[in-house]
Amino acid sequence: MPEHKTQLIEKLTGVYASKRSYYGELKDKISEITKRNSQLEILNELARQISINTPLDQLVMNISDRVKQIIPFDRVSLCIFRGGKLYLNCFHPQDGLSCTGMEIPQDQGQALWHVGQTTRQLVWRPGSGLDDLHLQRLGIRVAVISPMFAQDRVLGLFVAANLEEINYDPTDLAFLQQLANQLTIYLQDRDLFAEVTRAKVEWENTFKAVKDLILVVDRKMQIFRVNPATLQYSGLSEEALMGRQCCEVICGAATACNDCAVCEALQTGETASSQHEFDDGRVMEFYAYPSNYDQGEPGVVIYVKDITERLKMQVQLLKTARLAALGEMSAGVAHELNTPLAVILGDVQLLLRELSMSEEKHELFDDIKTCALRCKQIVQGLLTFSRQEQYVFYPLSVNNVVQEALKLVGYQIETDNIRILTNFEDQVPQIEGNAQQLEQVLVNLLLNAKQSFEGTAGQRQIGVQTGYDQRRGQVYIRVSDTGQGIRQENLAQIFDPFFTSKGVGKGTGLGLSVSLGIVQTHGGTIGVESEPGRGSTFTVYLPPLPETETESA
Amino acid sequence: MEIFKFMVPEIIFGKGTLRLVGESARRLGATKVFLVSDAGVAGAGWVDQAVRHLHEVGLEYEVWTETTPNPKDHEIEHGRELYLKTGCDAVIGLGGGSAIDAAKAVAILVTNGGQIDDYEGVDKIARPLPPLICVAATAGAGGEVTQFTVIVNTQRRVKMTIGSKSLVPDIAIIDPLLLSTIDAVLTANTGMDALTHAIEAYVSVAATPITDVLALRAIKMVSSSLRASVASRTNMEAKTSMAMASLLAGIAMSNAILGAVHAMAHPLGGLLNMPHGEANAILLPHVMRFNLIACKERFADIAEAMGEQTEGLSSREAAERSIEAVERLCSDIGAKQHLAEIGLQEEHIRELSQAAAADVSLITNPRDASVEQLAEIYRAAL
Repeated sequence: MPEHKTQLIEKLTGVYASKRSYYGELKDKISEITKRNSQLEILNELARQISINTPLDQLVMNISDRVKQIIPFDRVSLCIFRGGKLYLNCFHPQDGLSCTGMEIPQDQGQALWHVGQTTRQLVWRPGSGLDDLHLQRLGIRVAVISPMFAQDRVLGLFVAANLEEINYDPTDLAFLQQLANQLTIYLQDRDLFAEVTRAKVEWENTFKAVKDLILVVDRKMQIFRVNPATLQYSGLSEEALMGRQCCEVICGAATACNDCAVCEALQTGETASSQHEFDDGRVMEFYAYPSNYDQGEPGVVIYVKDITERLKMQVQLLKTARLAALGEMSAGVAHELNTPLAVILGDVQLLLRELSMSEEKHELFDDIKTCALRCKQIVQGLLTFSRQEQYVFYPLSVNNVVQEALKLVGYQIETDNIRILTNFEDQVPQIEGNAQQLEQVLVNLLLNAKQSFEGTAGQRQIGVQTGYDQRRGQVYIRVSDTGQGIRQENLAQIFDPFFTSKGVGKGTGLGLSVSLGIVQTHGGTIGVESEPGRGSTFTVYLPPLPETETESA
Repeated sequence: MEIFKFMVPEIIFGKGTLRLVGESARRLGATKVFLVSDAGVAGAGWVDQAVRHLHEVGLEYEVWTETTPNPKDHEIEHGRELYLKTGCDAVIGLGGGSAIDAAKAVAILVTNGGQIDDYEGVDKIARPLPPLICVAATAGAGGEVTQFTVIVNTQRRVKMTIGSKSLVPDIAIIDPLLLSTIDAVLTANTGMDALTHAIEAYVSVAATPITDVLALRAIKMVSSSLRASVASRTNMEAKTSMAMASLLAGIAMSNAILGAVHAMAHPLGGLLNMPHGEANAILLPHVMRFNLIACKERFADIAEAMGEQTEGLSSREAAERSIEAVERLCSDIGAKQHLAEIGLQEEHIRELSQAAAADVSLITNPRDASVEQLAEIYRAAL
């Protein structure tokens, strides 16, 4: 009691009890705030570094350097739990005992494992009950082990260690835990970032790989994203394209077309498609996919495909298929008719021989014979068209073929008051073929040309031209007229057997189909261009002799 | 005491110095003042006057007059809430012992937090208090210059003494004009409180030459002016003299600490809500008699200071004269002389003695006092 009494008197009247000073309080507060500020700065810096993808060991080194300024420690390390094992992921500074990636077994690192299990921060000292050989070997006197806790599991441990005995105050410990938390976020983000980057690159590559045009436009149809194919198509740089109207860039139009899929998609929010034929004959298919429609900033992803070639091919395929079918049928019919025809013709000839010219019936049988012959001719034509007949091929010049044909029908044409203009190229390469067959083709074409002037006034002129088409690498014979032309809807059918625009009895409708059959047997094609009222041009393309090519070269 | 510390606030003394209250607060950096007073002081118009002075210098304020004599812990709790809610940043206590004690207690809580009983005892305050100005409205309590505040713990029914240098106000204003609105009974009680402070400080084991000078001078001034001050509300000379006596006694007491009178008076306030001044006045002669053998010479000095003729007397006789002088003064100013008059009963004494024995004030009493001895004194004063 007396001692207690003395102490109280000392506090009441002695020199050591003083009025608390605001200056001291202020200084304490300021130093506290300064420290807190540095802590926040470090956390900020850490948060920033996450986004720029610093390597983890670099990050740990940076943290170590910065944190040392406010909290004393000699060593910092990061351990990661993976597959039920604990690994030293990185540490700073180098110590000659540790190496990155080394495993810390549970019996070696009891304190570390303890924190991993309890998920609570631990201030470890040697002899504190938990033997940690890993830390002891490093000569550590105090280690603050903070768990890196995420989604109900400990990802790893953040360890700040001291080689000297030191007392950390609670705010320091709280800060080290905050750092560990931040590092946890970093680790999670890093993995996520890598994942996202990979996915992004994949998508970008996909976008680039597509050879058709892909554009992304906003609600005003202004471009803000394109793939390389679009750049190539427009011939503009990416910068120049940004913000331009897609109508202008793709269609070369000032405003949107009536049936534009992009407009429709923008208005309805539904996927739309349209086809657009340009003046130069190209046909483009547009697919417009609305995107981001729900989030108030609607835009459209446009996929544009040039389908000109595809359409052409489709028409060609259709035609070929139909001709093939017709050919087969024709051949069948022709074979079936051949036998009864032969019988009719033989029998008629026998009957005619038995009848005298004066006999009344002679004329009737004669008619039968004429008609039977005509039938035989038709059957022959059908067989030719369906390439059922074999011919001998040999090298020949198309110029000769044309000249022979003109000898046959030239007079007939010119008497109909039609001028024939010829233009033969002397150096035209030789082809391999059958002259009689090809002459028949030419005769057919010339007669068709002659007939195209029926019922027309104006210039009556047929041009016959031969030459070599460099682009196709084929020899051609071109027969053009200034006649009535072929109506567009008929163009696709003119090669069909029995198709004719002429009056009944004026043609068999086999001329062109037989011609095509012959030309195809020669490995060639017949092209046709026609404009009603202006005339038609038929071009026979034939492959040149390979030897001829090398000889002329 | 070979090494000691002596502490006083900045002191502003004189008639009409209440008007400096606003300027003083501003000087300490206040922007919104928490003004603690009581109904009596407010009723006399001093609160309005103080507020006017705050307003004059552009300070905002929140007036709180809920304190009662012997301020209670729950009142302090309300004061703290109001202070924090209204965003005050300085405290002014305007009143007698109660308002000033309450002001100090609120000041502790607003910067230190916790409950007021956390700070019971000595030197328990860890953080600085907000700027604190105390204006004395009585001549006696002395809180405007001391390092103490006393708050009733209503659960334990005891007065908790809190002592800390941080409780010494930044500025003390003593304006004798404020004494002119006090009635004779309160003037007598507070005057006896001042005398008790001076006498206990003078015989305290922690007395120093500085406190001795102040204490003796205070005793002398009370002896010569208290009768006149009680007698007339308008005797400004007597009021000014009592104001100074109270100030000197307060400073002496704050630095030399108290004794058994206060140790015994505190439980009376805590248990029976007895007015502090009255209890002091009744107990003082009995405690002096008990303490006499500890320091006869000092009591002889007191007798002399009180104007007793001591020449030729033995020191014992001279010392006894001081007790007579005190009893005579009490009688002259009509102070009560028996604790029974203010509600004490025999059955309370045991509990009171135990509380008194544990009171901080007892440690500087010149004579060690046991619980039984304290009980005896209570009985003598009954």
